[in-house]
Amino acid sequence: MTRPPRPNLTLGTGNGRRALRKLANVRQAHYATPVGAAALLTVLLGAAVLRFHGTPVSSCQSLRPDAWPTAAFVAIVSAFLLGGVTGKLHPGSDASPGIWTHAALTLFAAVVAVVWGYETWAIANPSQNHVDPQPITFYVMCVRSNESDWTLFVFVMAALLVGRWLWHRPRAARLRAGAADRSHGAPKTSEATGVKPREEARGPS
Amino acid sequence: MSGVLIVAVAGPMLLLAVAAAEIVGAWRRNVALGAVIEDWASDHPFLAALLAAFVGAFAAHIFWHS
Repeated sequence: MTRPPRPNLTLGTGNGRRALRKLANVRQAHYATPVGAAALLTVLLGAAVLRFHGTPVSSCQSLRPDAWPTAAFVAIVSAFLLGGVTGKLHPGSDASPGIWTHAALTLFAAVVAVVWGYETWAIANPSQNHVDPQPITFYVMCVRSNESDWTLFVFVMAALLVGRWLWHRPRAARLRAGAADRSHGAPKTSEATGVKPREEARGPS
Repeated sequence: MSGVLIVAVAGPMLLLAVAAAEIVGAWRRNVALGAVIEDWASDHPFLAALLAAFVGAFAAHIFWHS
């Protein structure tokens, strides 16, 4: 007895089919960390707006020490280790980064530099009676004093991402992982992605 | 808008932007922001360790402050 042929449930062709295939790929393991972090941070962002709307800095004249500093330390270190483990799920790539990746990285570094410059200026010019402007670390401590769990949660997310990025993985091992990933999925060629491999981008030596 | 609200929102927003950049990079099967940093960390493991230690020291500064 032979089975009847399966109906073809694929909708559309071309771009629509590719979009559906990409949407299915979101279930892959290496999406777990960024998608989970983005969902949780979106909720936290809304909650922070509601909680701290209209909260003056003068409410932080006395900062309460954290009730569970050792637990916070363990949580942040554990998140860093977890980030190092989940970073192995990410497929490596031998492609050269594009202009948008460089632009995003430059923007990120610029934001950090501006924030750090403000921090230095604010520490060098302290304001009196706990009014604005204060150093950013003071505001962070103020938020932590009011909502210790939330602040810990943000630091755990940051430690997760830092562990994912900075955990030491030799380049060769990551490239092997990327090659294995591509051999199981769609072929990734420079023609298909528009991204030149490193050696191709560097040109003949 | 007070500085407390700005900092309470800016921290998660910065991390959300980083997570979004990671998702877009993986979605496009392109070289993501994280991959560039991973390359740098692979080439400079001691500097990466120092950076990670700095982030840890900052967290400790916040949570151990009294």
